[in-house]
Amino acid sequence: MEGEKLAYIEKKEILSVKKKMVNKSILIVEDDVDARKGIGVFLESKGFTVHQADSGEQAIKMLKENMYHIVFTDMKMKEIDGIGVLKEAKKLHTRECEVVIMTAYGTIENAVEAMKLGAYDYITKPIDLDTLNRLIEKCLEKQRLVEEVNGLKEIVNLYVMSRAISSIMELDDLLNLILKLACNSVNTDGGSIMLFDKENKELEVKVASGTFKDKIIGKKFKIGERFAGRAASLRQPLVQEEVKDEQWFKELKKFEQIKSGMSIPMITGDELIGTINLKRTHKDLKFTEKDVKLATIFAQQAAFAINNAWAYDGLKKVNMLKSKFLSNVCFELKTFLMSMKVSLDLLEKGKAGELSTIARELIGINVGGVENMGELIKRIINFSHMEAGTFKITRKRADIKSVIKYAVDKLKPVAYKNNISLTVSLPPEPVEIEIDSQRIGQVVENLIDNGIKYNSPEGKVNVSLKENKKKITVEVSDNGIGIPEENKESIFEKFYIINRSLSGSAHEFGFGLAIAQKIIRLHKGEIIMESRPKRGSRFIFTIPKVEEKE
Amino acid sequence: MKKILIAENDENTVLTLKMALETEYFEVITAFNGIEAISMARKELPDLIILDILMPGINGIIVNKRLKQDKNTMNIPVIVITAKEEARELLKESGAKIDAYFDKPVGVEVLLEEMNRILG
Repeated sequence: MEGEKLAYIEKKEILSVKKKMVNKSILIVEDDVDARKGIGVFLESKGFTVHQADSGEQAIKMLKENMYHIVFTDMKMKEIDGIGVLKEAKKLHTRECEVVIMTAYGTIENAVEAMKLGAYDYITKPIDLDTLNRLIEKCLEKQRLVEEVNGLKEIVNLYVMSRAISSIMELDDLLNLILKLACNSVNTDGGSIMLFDKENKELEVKVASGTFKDKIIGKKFKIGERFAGRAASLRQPLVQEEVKDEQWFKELKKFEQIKSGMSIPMITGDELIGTINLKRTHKDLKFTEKDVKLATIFAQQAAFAINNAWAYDGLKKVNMLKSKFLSNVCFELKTFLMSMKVSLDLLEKGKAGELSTIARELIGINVGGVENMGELIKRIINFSHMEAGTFKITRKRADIKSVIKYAVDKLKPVAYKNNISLTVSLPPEPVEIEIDSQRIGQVVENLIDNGIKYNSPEGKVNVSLKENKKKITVEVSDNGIGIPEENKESIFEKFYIINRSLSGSAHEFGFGLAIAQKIIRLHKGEIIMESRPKRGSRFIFTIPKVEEKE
Repeated sequence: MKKILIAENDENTVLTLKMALETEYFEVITAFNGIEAISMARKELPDLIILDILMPGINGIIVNKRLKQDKNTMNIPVIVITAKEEARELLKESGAKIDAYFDKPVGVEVLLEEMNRILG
């Protein structure tokens, strides 16, 4: 926005922060002028940046304004003593700053107390410069190691986070997780995620955390407008510290406590996805270059994940439309079949007058056609439910033996017509198990039907049921044409049909096994197939018995 | 002669079902939408109702519910014949009882068997 003063740190400035960090800084807190200056001169000669404070009060003021790697503090001072300085330093800069207590020989107990409060070490006065030097080296080495370990931890975190977000497809869940992980990874008090609306060239707040999140969610900003809009238009991360007379900051402060903010654009390829915005409410905790780096890498992963979720969402919508369309078509077809079926029934029974032999034959063909069409529609409906994820089963305790018997009886006429012997071997007692009887019946029918269809005249189909403590096993085997090796992988895929010239049947649409597999899986069971071409196939499914709970 | 009300908006279904039932010596009256179905049931008090679910205006689920709330019609048996997938669930949710349920298409024989069972 023109005329709007935005204090943002660009890359160059971030780099300059880094340079300062390389130059280690030390604060000396000592009320004795000579001692303080002596140590100061020595440390400066070693290349350190040295600041000096002559009292606890002054030290605390300086700690608030600057970052120090090591603080040397005298123990005994007026008003605020060494312990006071230590506590304040630990409160303000937990990770980066180590405190060393300088104490006279007689007051070592105080030093021990200081160590308990988190001091790194103590050194006795008068100060030996060699000891001081070794102490500093040791302390810096420790800091370096801690930093390295933290760096590794962050990389591992990033990896874990990337994996977590790439496995979520629902946009809302994904955004909430991204925000949560982003907040955790750079240790912030809260933030928001805005997504870019390409049509209106606007950023909209989709998720937010913090006290006023309800007021923020849904707000829209133009690209280039305000902080996030600015980051989005520049396509680079911005860091902002509180500037009192900035209008947008004032507005933001109506909603929440904020002292510093960071806005990271999410980009894939050259497309803007949105921004991740993070804030801190403690004025002494500023965003460092490392924070920005981490958040930027994370934002990249997030951008990919969001893009995927969008694509998935689009597919889902198309799929829903398809299912809806299929469902409407099926409704119309079923209605139409109803009057056809009744008409044919009446004709067949001679209710519309005596029929010639030819007429009777023709009607017979149509009766079969209506029957097949009805079955096909049922399969299409099941299939479209499966696709839409609305395919459900209702398990009830039932005797699976009678379910199998019913299916076998139903298909006996078909087997007879095809000159196939259909046999069944069942245990003598009822086999009670929690199943969706209708659906399981459908699976068994489908398997028997396949066994009959993909068989040769005078072939055999056998259905058997076995039971043990944990599961039931149903096997449907035939001595038919079998399934060629190269087709074994794909038989459970939708629309798969075994070579039609082999089957010689035209009303198979390849939904059957895909649906059967889905039904068995919904029962937490397994279905497998074993086959040898020209020797026959065996389809075996198992269903675990549901354990009685409580 | 038993009186049967067919409430169904597909003309061909009504026509063929009417023929099928009349050859079995039932008296058949018809309604082509939900409102008509309710008023016809109240006026004619049929012995059994064959009810479609997806009809213009008031759907079969509501028709059934209203009939079951009315003490004059509450005891009339209802056979639902529908092409609507979700009807079975929706009927269950409505809490109003029905006597039999068929998914379209259903054959004459099966339907007659069920009707005779219900009518005794």
